[in-house]
Amino acid sequence: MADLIFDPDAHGELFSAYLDGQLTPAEVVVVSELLDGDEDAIKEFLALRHVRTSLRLLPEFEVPAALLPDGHLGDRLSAYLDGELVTLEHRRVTKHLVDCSDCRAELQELDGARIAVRSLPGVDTTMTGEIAATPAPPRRRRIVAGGIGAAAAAALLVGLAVGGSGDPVFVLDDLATHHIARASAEPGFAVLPAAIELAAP
Amino acid sequence: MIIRRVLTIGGLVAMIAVVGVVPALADDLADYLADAGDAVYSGRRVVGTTWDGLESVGVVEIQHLGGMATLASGSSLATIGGGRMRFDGPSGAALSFIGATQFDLSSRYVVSSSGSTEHLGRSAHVLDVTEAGFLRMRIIVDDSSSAPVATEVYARDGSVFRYSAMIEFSVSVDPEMAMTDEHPYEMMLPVDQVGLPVDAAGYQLVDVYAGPQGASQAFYTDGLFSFSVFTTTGRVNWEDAIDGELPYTVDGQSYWRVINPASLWVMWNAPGTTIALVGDLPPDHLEAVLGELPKPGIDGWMTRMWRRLFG
Repeated sequence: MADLIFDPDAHGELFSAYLDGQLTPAEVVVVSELLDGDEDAIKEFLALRHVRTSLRLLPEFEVPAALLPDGHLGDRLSAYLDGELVTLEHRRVTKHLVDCSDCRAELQELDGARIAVRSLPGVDTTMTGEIAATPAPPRRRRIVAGGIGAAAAAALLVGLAVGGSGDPVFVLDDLATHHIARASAEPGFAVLPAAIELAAP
Repeated sequence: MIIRRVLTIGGLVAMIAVVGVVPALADDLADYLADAGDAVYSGRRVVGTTWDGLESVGVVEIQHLGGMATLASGSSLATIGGGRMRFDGPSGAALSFIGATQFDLSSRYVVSSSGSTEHLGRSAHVLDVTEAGFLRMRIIVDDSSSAPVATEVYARDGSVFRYSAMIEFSVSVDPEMAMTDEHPYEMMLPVDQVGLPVDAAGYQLVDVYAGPQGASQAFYTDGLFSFSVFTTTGRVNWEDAIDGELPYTVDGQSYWRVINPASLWVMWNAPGTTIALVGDLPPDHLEAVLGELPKPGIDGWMTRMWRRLFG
């Protein structure tokens, strides 16, 4: 229990925001410097993370439906799409979405509306540094193995499927992209993230 | 705001109660994986897979913060974590999955500490993950950051199947990584289940999504390793599509495989269906899983005739 007690004058709030990725670049520099040499700061950081880990490993705290508007997520869906939810809240919203088809439908509508707005003429998305979220257009009768590690790339060449015009299309690096994105939600991904396949030349 | 406070206070009360009665939590594999997920570090990582005399190796620059990893190599950049992935490269994509699993890892894996060591001059400790009494994974964990600085995955014969090691390491990260991610993501929502087993050799079918190119994606995990099975109707001539690879045979059935530094792709045709498995599972797990998925086979002659005549 001792490691649950924090010095109120210490860096707990800063570290907490750091772990949630909510600091400005300048603040990140401060935290990085603290963690690079300050033994007390490192101890405090590890203690904080231990508490967060303990929290995360608890059985999910079910939110009583009466505490949510209509038992659904409401405005938090927008925050979810905007990536504004902190770790614990993000998990709760995700869990609710898995179980609630109404909220999933609302999220899809919201997402569709956002995409429609982005595609309006005159909206310069490059100003905000956005990239296209639309997947690559289907390539008929083509199978592509690409974007992988150098050794494998040497052994693999792009090939064409043969047969009737109804041949399926599998772009293998698209499959890898989808798997890696989904797998990254699982705890095991922390040990050996597989995205090296995508990042390697 | 009131709701959030209630949740926070409720969570803390529950946490204090649980921490008080479960003092051995730190010995759990899930605990170590959660710590690794929260670790803050950067550097260069080499990852490689060796299997049947084939080897695939890659090196990538990594920044890890807030549960997200940014991997960079050349002009490609991938940011991954929490079911999200943004890839700025030749086939750029930004995906956000709704799905997360909580598994009781101890039902298959047991973790134990094997003492202290050093990695890149820093103090570290060794964790051994055993499965049914044999060593499945060894993880070297940096003491101050909890980052997994080296990992070895073993095949059933005891050989190293996959390895990963930080060859440069720092507990600092690029401040740019702390910028708010305002990119639009394609939301991936679960869909109805497909006709695949709900349990395949100890891997559970967690959820199913509409995959790329009209395929469906069934995601399986045992809490440590994971794979996705992509299925679509029709048939692909893999022999022509994948040059330079010999068929991979399991129980007399032929598949096609691609070995990457940190993952495997296995492809085959079942009657009326083309299937691709993408994942990081070790060879003996893979063989057991393939035994429980639809077997390779060809369409009936009527189907082939129809396709030839009408496409």
